[in-house]
Amino acid sequence: MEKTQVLIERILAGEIEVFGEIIRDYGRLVNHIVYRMISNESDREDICQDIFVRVYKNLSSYRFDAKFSTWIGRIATNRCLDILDKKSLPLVDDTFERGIENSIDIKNTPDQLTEKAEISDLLRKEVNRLPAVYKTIITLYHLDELNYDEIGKIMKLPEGTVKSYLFRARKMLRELLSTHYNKEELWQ
Amino acid sequence: MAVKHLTDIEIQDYLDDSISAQIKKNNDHLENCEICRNRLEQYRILYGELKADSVPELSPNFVSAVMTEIKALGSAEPVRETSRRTFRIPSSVFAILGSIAAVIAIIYFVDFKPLLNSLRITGLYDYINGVLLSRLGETAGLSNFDFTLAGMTILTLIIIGAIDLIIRHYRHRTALFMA
Repeated sequence: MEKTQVLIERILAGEIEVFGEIIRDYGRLVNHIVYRMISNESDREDICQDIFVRVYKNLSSYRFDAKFSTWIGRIATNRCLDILDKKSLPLVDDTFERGIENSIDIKNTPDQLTEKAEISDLLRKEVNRLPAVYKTIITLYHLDELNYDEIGKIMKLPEGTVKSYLFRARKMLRELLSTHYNKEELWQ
Repeated sequence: MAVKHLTDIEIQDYLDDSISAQIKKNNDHLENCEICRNRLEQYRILYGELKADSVPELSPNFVSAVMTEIKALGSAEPVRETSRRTFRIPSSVFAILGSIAAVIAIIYFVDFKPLLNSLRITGLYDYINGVLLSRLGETAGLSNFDFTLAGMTILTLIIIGAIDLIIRHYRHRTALFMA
């Protein structure tokens, strides 16, 4: 029997303490989703906490036919969407396309960007500027190493759409870098 | 002949290991084309950076904070549903029953005569009633008129359902773009 299934069985049998193991195993995934979808830094940990309480309360409704990571990821995504909905944030950030063109800080001249650490920093900033759906997919794919199908189930998007968003986001990032800096400056 | 460079999608596919026969064929092109090699290299670095990207960790006391909250729930702890699992009515059954109830209510309360008259003028009624529904009616042993009403109400419900689905789909997609 899979480890998670054993843990869930024990929790449902009354061993509440075991839920700590679930939090340790899936905290990273939930944290990644919340971090990418919620921009307000001070809210994030509270939201993660709320998500785990919801997971606990709904644990008995989990059916073992789906992957637990997908199930928990979906709860996290739904919670984030609820919060975004309640705050009535603008539907689409229309300044995004324009902003990304002008996003390189003037003080970051090519000479100063020859260090890899600075390029990493620049990329991190640019990833954070992407729409929530793009950066969440990028994180789930590259950091959590989930496949298109799993990401699609978590985000409630068709697999083809996940792939298309991921490709588009990476293309934007590559173009952004190559537009501002030539290869030698970037990758030496 | 004009040189055909690899597209961004093809290069990303290549790096995602979903390597296609076409890309294999293009290996020669990659070896000889500096533009595509540069682009591939840029993507390679980008992939490395994205994989190495970090997200701030949750605070060290996160687990204990959640556990404290869960313990405070007391009676709200999850209960094994073994007994309930044996008999669970799928939500689709409720949806079907609801639709049937809605159809009956519509047939009972709504006056369809004006609509039928307007359809008669356009000739659509004769087509539906004469060709399609009469055959269905004969098959089911019901009058044409019953079938016309039922058909219209079902069609209305399908349209309403489709609109609802589109709205919900649109709301989900746009919500995902919020930052």
